[in-house]
Amino acid sequence: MIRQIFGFIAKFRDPFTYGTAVVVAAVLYLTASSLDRGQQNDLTSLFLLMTLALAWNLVGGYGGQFSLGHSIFVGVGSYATAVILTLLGWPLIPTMIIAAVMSALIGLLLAYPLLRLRGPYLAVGSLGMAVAAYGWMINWDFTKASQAYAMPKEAQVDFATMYQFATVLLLIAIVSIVALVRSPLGLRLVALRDNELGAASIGVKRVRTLLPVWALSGLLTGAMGAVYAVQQGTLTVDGTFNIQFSLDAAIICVIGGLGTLSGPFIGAIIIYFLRKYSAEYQNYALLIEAVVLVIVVRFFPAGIVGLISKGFRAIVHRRAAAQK
Amino acid sequence: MTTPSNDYILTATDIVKTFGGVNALRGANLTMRRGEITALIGDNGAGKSTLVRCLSGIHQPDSGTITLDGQVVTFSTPLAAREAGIETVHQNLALVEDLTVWQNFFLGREKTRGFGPIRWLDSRRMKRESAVLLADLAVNAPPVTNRVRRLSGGQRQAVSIARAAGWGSKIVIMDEPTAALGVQETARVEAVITRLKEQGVAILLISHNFDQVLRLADHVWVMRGGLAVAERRTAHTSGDELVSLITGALAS
Ligand SMILES: Nc1ncnc2c1ncn2[C@@H]1O[C@H](COP(=O)(O)OP(=O)(O)OP(=O)(O)O)[C@@H](O)[C@H]1O
Ligand SMILES: [Mg+2]
Repeated sequence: MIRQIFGFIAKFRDPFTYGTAVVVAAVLYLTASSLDRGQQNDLTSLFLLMTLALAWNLVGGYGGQFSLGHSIFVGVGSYATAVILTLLGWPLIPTMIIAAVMSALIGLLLAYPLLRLRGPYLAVGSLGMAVAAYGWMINWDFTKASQAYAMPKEAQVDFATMYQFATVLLLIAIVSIVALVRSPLGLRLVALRDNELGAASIGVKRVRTLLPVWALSGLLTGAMGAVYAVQQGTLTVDGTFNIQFSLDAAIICVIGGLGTLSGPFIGAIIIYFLRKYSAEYQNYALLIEAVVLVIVVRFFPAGIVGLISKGFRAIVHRRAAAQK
Repeated sequence: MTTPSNDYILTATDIVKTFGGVNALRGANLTMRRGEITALIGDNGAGKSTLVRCLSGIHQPDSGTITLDGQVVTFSTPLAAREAGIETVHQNLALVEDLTVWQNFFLGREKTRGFGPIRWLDSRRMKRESAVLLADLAVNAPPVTNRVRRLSGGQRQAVSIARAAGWGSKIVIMDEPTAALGVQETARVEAVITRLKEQGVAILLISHNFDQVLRLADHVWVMRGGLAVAERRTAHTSGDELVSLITGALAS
């Protein structure tokens, strides 16, 4: 019996593919009514971090394109939400949806030139775009970007609502990413990452495959930015168009496991608590994170998920050998 | 020199392809007859792979004509060539190591299930169909749920060939399918090729192994310096003659 269960799990490179969404949904259902405001705020932050990492993982993990430009999506999502609310006075939820769509369009716009690049060149190219976007926002009067931009009162919601936004967004991210990974597009995405020439020689088209993936990643990251804006209440260019978002997402995925569904969750939980509890040793916080990253990359490059599924496989093989 | 006729499933005439300053093909010709194995031989750099890539839509020739079944065709993409019925097993194996056998089989032509525009992979069906196709051709067929990374060289070739064969294609092109394989694995891949021929598929076989060419092929084309310099029926030639045609010691 146990062997069957382990065998079933070990068949998947990612042992949690099926379970993750179910577990997350169950935990949320059970905790929803029993949280205080502090916990709601903490969980909102954690879920936003997870959503960011999941969205980045589409491009950076499954697609193998190490984007350092994702801060642009966070910035566009958050500022679009603030500006539309202020100037047009739309209701909050439609505003956040439009902000996410705008971010998706920006995703297409950025991806088009970026897709000519590969590997480290793409990382540097996307970093350049992020820096340019930051510089542009800093100097733009319209968004009052050189100062703080206060969210209008339509965006002032209580902690429970904010927590619901983050929860729903996380579930949307999980469902859409699973759907993409299980579609022909997901197969082609991984094929292009692992053997671009081979995939191309049997007719897989690079740009046509990658554009929709960048759009979805931009959409989810932009939506994350919109909820983040609501959580923050006041926006600054430093707090939204910050390269740190891309770095966080990348670090989380590398630690958890690139190109797996559960990697971003595990990585986000580790980074989140690492930061929460290392905050008191300010000067060492970054060092601790760097050490964890180095250990993971050095000793289990497939991330924690890779380590776990390897462990499962080892158990299955040992049991199979013992029975012979 | 080559006139399109009903005997020919494929003709390529005066194909020119230049890369920067390199004249890889300088007016190459090739014909393939229905139901036959046609071999293409020539020294390293003669232009064999380049010609193959022109036939399979990876390269577009600078000039020249390709006809398939008597119709003039141009392939702007590999998919266009596949859709016209030309499948290719490329010299550098085009399998994705991190995907499973069945995923490789259907990559680019996935079977899906779903409602309207919402589709997901029909993996059960694809596993079943690829297992049947593979078992049909190869005796050493690996389980289709294995990742390609774990397969031997011969198993990989068998998978590549079975994939090429699995689409009801008219022509299967194989660029050095047994290079880098041991004796046993070579024999198994040759069995796959023979089996494919029995199914009525026309095959273009590129090989440096004269024994193999003489054993398997019905017809052989010789390339040198970007040109097709000679053609022979394999029944009426010998390894020695082919060697001297390749090196240019013997004029066609
Ligand atoms: N993409 C390319 N760019 C530049 N030159 C190329 C390209 N492809 C082929 N060539 C050149 O064209 C010539 C023919 O190469 P090709 O690969 O067709 O030879 P081949 O007959 O297949 O050789 P081999 O037996 O070694 O596989 C060579 O000089 C090669 O360097
Ligand atoms: Mg070659």
